[in-house]
Amino acid sequence: MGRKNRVEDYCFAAGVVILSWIMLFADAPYRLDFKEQISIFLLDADRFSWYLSNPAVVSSIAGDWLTQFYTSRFMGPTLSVILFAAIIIGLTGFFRKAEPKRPDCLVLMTFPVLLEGYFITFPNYPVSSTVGLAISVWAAVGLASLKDSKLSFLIYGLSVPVMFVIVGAHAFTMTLLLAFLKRKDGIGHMLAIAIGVVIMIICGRLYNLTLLQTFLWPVWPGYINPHKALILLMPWLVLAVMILALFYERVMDARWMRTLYPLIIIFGTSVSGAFKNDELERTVKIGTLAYRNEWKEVKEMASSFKYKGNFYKNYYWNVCNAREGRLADELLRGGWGRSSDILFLSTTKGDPYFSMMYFTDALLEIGDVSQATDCALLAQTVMPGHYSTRMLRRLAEIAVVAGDYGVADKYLNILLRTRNHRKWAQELMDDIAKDKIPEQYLKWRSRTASNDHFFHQGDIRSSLSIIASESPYNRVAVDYLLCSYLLDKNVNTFVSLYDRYYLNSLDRIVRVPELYQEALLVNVDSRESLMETVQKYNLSEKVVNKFMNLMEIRSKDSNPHTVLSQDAMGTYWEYIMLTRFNNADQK
Amino acid sequence: MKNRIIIFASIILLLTGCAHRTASTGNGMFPDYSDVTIPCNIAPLNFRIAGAGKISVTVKGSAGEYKFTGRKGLVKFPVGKWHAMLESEKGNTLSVNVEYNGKADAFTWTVIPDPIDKYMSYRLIEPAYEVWSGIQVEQRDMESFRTVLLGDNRNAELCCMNCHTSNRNGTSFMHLRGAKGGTILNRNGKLLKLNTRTDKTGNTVYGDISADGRYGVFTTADITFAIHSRVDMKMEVYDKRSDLVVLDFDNLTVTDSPATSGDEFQETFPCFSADGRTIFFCRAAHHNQPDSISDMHYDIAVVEFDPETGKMGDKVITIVPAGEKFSFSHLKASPDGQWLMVTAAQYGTFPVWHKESELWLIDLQTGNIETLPKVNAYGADTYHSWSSNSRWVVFASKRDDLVYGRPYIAYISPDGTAGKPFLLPQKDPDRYVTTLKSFNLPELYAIPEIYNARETAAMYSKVKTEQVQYKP
Repeated sequence: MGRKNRVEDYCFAAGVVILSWIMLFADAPYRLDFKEQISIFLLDADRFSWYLSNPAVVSSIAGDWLTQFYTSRFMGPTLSVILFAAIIIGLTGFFRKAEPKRPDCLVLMTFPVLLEGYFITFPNYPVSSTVGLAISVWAAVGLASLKDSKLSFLIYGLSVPVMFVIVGAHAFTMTLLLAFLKRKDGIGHMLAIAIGVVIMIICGRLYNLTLLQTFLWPVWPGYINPHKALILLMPWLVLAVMILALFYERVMDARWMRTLYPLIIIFGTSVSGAFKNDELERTVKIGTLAYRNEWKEVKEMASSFKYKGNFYKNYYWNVCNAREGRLADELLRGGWGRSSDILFLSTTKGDPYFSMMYFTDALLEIGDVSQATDCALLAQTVMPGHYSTRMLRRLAEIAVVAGDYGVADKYLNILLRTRNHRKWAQELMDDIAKDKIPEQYLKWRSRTASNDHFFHQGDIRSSLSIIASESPYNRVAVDYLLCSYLLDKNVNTFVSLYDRYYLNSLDRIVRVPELYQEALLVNVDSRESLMETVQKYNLSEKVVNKFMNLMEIRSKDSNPHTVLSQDAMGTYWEYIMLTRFNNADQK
Repeated sequence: MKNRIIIFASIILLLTGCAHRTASTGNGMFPDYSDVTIPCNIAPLNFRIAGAGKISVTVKGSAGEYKFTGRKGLVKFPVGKWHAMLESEKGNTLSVNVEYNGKADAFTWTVIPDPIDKYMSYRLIEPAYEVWSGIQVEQRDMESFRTVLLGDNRNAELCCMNCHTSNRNGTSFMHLRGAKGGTILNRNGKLLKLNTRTDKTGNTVYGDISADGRYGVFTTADITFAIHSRVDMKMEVYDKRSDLVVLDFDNLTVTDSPATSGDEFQETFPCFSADGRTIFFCRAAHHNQPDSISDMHYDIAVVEFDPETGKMGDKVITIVPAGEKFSFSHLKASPDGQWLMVTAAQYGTFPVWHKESELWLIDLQTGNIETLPKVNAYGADTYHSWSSNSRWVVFASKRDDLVYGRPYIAYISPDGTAGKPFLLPQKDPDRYVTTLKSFNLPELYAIPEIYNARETAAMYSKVKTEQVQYKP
């Protein structure tokens, strides 16, 4: 291959690395950031023994350490592409050792990195897996340098279990690379693969892993569906790349190949574009902004969220408005559908841990500390690795709200040992020591229930009823309760609850939202009952006029799609007439 | 036995006399090992002092003086030297002087010649009990820091793994839930997977093994949970219904009794007396739960048991009425037949989340009740287990952070006097600080288990379940 081709080759590989950086920087910053939220780096006795009790000790420790820096928008993509570059250079170096007489083939060596770049955009995909791939490739480079074939074969055999301990599943990548290296030694390469596979399975058994876990670790199989099949293919892709590289020189000398270069780049870009999971990125972003208390941005994002049926967008729209005391005012400007899809997030076993993490935001606003504790503990329990700095912070906050400072101390002590949360933990510890509890926590505390009642996990309506009945001036809880019945079109229960919480109570101190006024008129069926309702609830002239206008049109035309005049659009009457629950999140 | 355990009415007065005390951690020493009573074979009591640099420890006993050092605030005693010291100082009270950062602390360690059982098992589980993602059952060597994994639900379809109940005469069991689950029974090294549910009796839950290892007495309960609205109370686990059954491990049969079945009462936490002729258990009149759970006050009751026929008697006698202020659970009779240790809480049957719950000791000869103020602390002291020589108990306590259970060990003298409990020592005590798992259901036993997590997984996924037959 000519010098010019070689330069083009290097340019291409550099282009892939730069392109990866740009795409991670532009398209996946919050997904990379999220990796830090659902992991922790500690090297204390318990965590270290956890590392030792699983394979991939070195790559897990290194990966978790690196993950700490992923909170920076610049560092996440940068560290990722450094790992990618290490993989590309390692693969190239390995091929040079295996086939010293053949030219470099950086173009092909970028293929595994493209796939790895796709994996790393998944919040559940650990950085330690990418680290493991890099280490295994470089281990193969080292082993390929051995000269004595008898000795090297012995070392290959020993290196598989050692690498399994060091990098986990990617020990198999190294095994396949060694099989490629030994392919000319008769059955040597087959033997290398067979020994590698058997040793890995035995090692997996020693670690009490299933077969699938053995070939995926440190990726947790249950969290990466349906992509685990692709992840399992990675070692084979590395092998395929090596085999293709054998024919690379012949292909590259062909004139048509150079014209194919731009097409490869376009193809690579479009594949990366296809990999771009914009909805996931936005879902992670909106939750991350809430985690950072950037509520103005959360609201802006929820109002402009382009995936209309997204639960989290609807949920956060309402949390933002509840924080501002405008839940009912803005309810119908968000998603339409059942309360379980619009106001609340489902948090039973089998639901995504995103829901459990995010739902604590609303629960604390409501003052439902018991359910918030349960959600935070559940989220931590069901996420991969079972350690989340974000949930540790939340659990510490919940404990402070509940006045359980001993419990808060437990979580703050752990966070004190982390790089990113040390300062926050220390400040909160100091606040507790000085009895200067932050205002926000005191506000949440004031909304909690003081009498004891029982409710079942996930039964948010029961807990809302308990909290609202105990603190009728907890407007957030009352509004969530009333709005949940409105969204579910249960107007009769709404009216009875309105009478209980608003009539001659909250309506004396706050303006009654138009939504409630509209709902109070839903059951009106005569002029007498209208007068009675208007008088009882002191409804505004504007709402009454709109209602009378609607009634007048309706007396002439019973088709719900044509009776709605312009001023009835966006009202509860439109909602109740046009919403069908089998298409819950569509108007 | 029944006649020997008449409990006087005066104990009811005693019941009201308990008081809480708060755990102290001394001058920044963690765990608090000051003035504790320890067995002569316990692993080194490694400790950490917050903010300390180099630490010098001088231990003075009748047989000599022993010097140890620590650095970076951590004292790790060499295992060999530690055991040599305890061996020489059996029965003595040691003066311990700790110097660090120009300060000095002095306290004592009382070394009891009676050893603690060599093994302890516990379940490691996140405190969100309604979901389990990673449960391990571990066996710990009490003389060192070695552990063996007895069960790991990662390779058993993330099933729930219940308590491993200690081996008595070569018999032990562990419940595995899930689609392929069953009760793993170890009988003298032979493992069986049993389906203990029959047409007439439910699945077995909490249980105890008779001293000869032939019988097991179990609760069959339909367990569920609810959440408290009050922020200082977390979760309430309760039984919708519960009865008692006896399993004959020789013949693989299960039997019940009208006296301990039915809807009028709920029976739970049974245990055999030392002679195997009496079954102690907790019993409460049924109320609708969870709404009336605060009315569920479990008494301590007994029913006779005939080891020859394997049948329970037909008469239940309440030996300690709970009244309206208490509820008993986790009954465990000491192997020497002298004591019955129980957990007392305000109400209900699952004291793990009851911060007020504490351990009481009932003298089965006199009926006297000790409320063990030296042992108990605020934060839930529950689920205890006796050492086979009846001198030591281990129990799970949440006294340190109110959420995560940790195994504490206490000495019980022949006259029922208790020593100050101490936390199960770890190679690095920081393990307790950063772990997000509870050390749940600790059990002491003298003979090591013959299986490990791989075999448990194989039992779960590959071994056919044997059906236990109902015997009227």
